[in-house]
Amino acid sequence: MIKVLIVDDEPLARIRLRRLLQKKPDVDIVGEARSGFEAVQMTDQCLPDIVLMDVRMPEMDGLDAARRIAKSVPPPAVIFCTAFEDFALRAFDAKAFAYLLKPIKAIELDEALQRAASATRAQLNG
Amino acid sequence: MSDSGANQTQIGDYFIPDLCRGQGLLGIFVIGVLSALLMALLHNGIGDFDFLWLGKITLLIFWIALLSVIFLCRAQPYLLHLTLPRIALINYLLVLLAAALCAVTAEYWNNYSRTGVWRADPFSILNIVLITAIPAGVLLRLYYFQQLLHQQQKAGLEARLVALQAAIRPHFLFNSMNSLATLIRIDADKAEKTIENLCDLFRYALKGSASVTLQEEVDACQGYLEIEKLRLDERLEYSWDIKVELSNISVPPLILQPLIENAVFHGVQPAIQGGSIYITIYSSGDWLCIDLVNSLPETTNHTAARSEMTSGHQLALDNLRCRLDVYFNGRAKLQETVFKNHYHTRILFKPLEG
Repeated sequence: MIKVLIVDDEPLARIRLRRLLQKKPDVDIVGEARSGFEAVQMTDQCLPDIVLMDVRMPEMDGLDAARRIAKSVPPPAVIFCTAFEDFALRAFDAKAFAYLLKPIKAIELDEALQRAASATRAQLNG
Repeated sequence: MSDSGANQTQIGDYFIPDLCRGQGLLGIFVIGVLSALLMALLHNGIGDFDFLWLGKITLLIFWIALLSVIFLCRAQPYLLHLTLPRIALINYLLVLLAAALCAVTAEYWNNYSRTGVWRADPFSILNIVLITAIPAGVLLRLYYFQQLLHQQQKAGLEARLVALQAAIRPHFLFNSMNSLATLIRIDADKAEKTIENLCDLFRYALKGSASVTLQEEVDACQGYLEIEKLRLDERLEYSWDIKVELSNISVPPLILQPLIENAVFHGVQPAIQGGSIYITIYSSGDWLCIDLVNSLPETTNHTAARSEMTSGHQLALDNLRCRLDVYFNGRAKLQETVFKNHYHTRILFKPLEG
């Protein structure tokens, strides 16, 4: 089972991610956060394996949140979901596994999840 | 081209064409020769054409032209921050100064070479200055109106570009599409309505007309707000209070939409609890008044939120101010203020007759 945390300030964007994830039997959605700040809190509470992270959000943006989340032990894999390729995102050096472009495609989400999950497991085993 | 404010004149926008080199300089000398010929013809007629006189007058005109061009080119960098009428006035005075200097020199030299005495007739000098003043005035006025027209066209083009970039600002487009991808499954009616709104907004932004009714502008803004409302849901509150008939008031397109977009982008979206936008349209005496008030995000640093709102707004405001000024012949104002964590923008103008 892969535990996933959804982070996005837009309700419709969260619904879309949830719909896509619900089709996958091995994925468990452990929580939904509406800002970077909530994401950091919920990572502590729900201990997700993977965080699907929006970039532009109020309170704390996705990049800041990812930097903080990267400090937890063991760090969950962060997959950015963004509407448009950001320079800030390209320059981002925290341990982001991938970034997905909105509207997110099911097949790309699958791939990213697989890679992140196997990397997390490898990390756990090693 | 426009990474600095629209109010600031740039070299390319400078109101006289580039006289300091190439074609501009050549043009001035061609005009000089033709004026000299005209004056020689008026002086003696074609019958006993005086080539010596033509030579002298051509020389004088060339000196005045050369000195004027040097003055204007030297002055240009110092004048860039001034308004167009001031630049025109200073340039005109510089040309007259050049004429006066040349006239004084020519007079002294002329009298000395003939009589051997250093003296000048003030009336001859005044005469030359006046003869320069008239064609120089005509030419500068021509440049002035040419530049006014150019600025007007440029502001219109820029606004369309800004609006287009806003409508297809990548985040806006893809976020809207992302909302649509969800809506198609859960609320087909809303999805349909959103596609209609997006199409209307794009069509409006792409429309080439220089004038629309205020009703059309308000419709476009309402469509835009509906799309953003989908995305931000209860975080975006807005209200319209329209106290006048809008369909017979003509305005340049996209006077309100860019302001509302900035209010959403800088005022509402960065706040977790959301924010509100109030738009009021009413008349006050001869003036029509559009008030746009939006909340600012409650951050620990209010000044930062405000300055972000202001700087994000500035380009749109500069451009809008310029377009309103041209469209309403100077009878329009754009004001802005911050109060109690709200940002208030006001567009004021006297509606055109008919």
